Amino acid sequence: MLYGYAGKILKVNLSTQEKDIGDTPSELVENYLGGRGFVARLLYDLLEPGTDPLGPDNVVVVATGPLSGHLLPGSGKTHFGALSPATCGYGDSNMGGHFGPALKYAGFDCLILEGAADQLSTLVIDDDEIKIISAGSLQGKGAIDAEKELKEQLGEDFQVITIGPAGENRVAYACISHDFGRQAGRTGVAAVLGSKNIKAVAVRGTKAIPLYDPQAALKKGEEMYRVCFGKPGFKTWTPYGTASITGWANEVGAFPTRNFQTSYADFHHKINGQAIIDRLLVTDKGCFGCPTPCGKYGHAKTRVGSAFVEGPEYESIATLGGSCCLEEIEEVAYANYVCDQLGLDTISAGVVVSFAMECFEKGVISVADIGREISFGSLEDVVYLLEKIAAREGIGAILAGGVKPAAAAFGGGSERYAIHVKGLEWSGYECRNAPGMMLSYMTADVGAHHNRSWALGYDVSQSDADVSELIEAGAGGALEVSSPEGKVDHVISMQHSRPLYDALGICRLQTMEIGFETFHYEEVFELITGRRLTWQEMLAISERIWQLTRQFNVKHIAGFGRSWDYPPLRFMEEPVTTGPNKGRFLKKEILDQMLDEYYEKRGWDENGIPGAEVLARFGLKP
Amino acid sequence: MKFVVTINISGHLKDLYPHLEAQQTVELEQPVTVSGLIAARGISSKMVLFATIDDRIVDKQLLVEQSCTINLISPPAGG
Ligand code: SF4
Repeated sequence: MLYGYAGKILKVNLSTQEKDIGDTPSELVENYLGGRGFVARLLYDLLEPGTDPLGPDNVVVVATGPLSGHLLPGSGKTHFGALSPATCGYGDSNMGGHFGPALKYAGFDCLILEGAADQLSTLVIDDDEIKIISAGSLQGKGAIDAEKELKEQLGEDFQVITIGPAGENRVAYACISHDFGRQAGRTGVAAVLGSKNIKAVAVRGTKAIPLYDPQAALKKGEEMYRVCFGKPGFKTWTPYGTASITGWANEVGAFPTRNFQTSYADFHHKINGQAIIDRLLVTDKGCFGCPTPCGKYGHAKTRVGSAFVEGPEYESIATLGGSCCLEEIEEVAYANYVCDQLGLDTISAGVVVSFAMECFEKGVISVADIGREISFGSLEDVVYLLEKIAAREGIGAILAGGVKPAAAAFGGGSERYAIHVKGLEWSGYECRNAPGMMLSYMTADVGAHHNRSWALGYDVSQSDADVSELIEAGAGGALEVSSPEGKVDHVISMQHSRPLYDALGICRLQTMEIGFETFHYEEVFELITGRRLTWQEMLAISERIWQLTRQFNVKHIAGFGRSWDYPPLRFMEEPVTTGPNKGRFLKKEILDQMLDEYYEKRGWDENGIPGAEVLARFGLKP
Repeated sequence: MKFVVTINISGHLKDLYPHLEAQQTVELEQPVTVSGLIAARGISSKMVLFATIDDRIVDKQLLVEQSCTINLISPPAGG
């Protein structure tokens, strides 16, 4: 018996409406743990090279982890994956909330969606009763409105994921929405759901999950909560959540501003964690089993509209606030709400909109192309472009593909400021003076996402200049360049540790933000599953997953290799224009030096292709 | 006069400074500010987002008092 897992995988062919329920393979459990590991391995096995990301042959995998759904801190995580329409390579995204636990209680570790329904549909999983119903009445509805309507129709005890108009219209960075403000935002998995005519999946589960030692697991879970509540960071983390980093990101010159032209916004104090508390907050909101609820549910009133909205968390502040220059927290929150309803990833959407603004400012596109003038700092223009993108109307049809194809379409040198890696827009950290963070973005398997490695703290901790004093003195250019030395090992180590939480099905923020110790996870993992694994052994599994996703990209992206790992030219050639890192950029030679070392340590050749030896070590085939 | 204070380091400060214990009790020769204490531990001041004493965020220029417990909180590690 598989303890800790539901033990079954549900596969639904949407074209034929056939449902297949099989055992969760023990080989999958042993070598890939769950969550991100299941997603990566199943996608690798199920997808043929040449698959169209938006065709019926793509598959969507939804996976929980061995620790999902149990009584322990942060156990509400769910992982989603597909061949990404944004990168045409490996795509996945992690989401909090309550969906994963419900899927597991319905009896499934994993859900696989194949084919495509012939009309817009909702998949309903009610324990063993699985049916596909019409979602015709939800067509064009906002993701949040659709969730509300489905809960009214099916019952409050259903956990629901939805897509918005952007997903229906296959925008490459459409996001999956859940629990009125939680998203699986990155890599466009919602566009794949849209291509399969799936508007929503609703799950209700009432079954038990077998545990190896239920009494001891319960006791350990209770202890884990007590430990979290007693951590010194507990009382400062929860009130501010991720937004507390806004001021810091500016002080160290890492805040993307004006489409990453610079890395410092002089209005940052108006869009930080304190501004959320003072001007928006109604209540804190957390995921299943969370002792440290980082969600900030609030109300935003602007001249364009007003709304209740969960967020904005830091990434949305950085891309919609910093990159698009929305200078008031209410404006950032309202743009966040518009993205949530349309079903757009706030990170990519913010970067795409700011890219369009810079293109207009530089004369690459005109009023005739856009339909009006647009400028940084205008909420009206941000909302106008978001709506055009979600509907694929006018200029929105081009921007819906993301900054990489949009730059190819616009020309005029705009690829220089199309801020992405592998076709995925850059998230909220500017790193022209942060080589470790730059390498993290360059080598992340899904493209420019901070979730895999966040080495900015490491970069900053190694530079001795007091940044606050530099800002006050207006001597930004004096900040010493962070050395690339030693960064590669740190990045590799983080690329194993951070994604491991996504394989286990738990939130990493209790560890990363308040210092919760990893040995607790070793202990509870054994009590739940009956399997003894040290944290180091789990990290080795995470490394296997890393090698697999690289190999996935080799298999699916024609010509994949080193050239896919570079940041945009702006970061290699243009100095930061203002703030503490004014004048800084990282030359290509420095990046090449880091890539060489990184590839060697990974066991990849000089083009970044995994060698036969390293693949064999992890039981993988070229 | 000798001062004894307890320092807790939190979040990813433990990863960045693996040689430091999560909790340490240190003896000081003379009054120092929170900033001075952070520097004396070899921690970059930029990596301390908040210092708290008795669950209250304190100014880093505050002089630490005998027997107090200071929590050093790192900036969020990228969500
Ligand atoms: S810390 Fe935030 S993301 Fe993590 S489980 Fe809690 S509410 Fe969810």
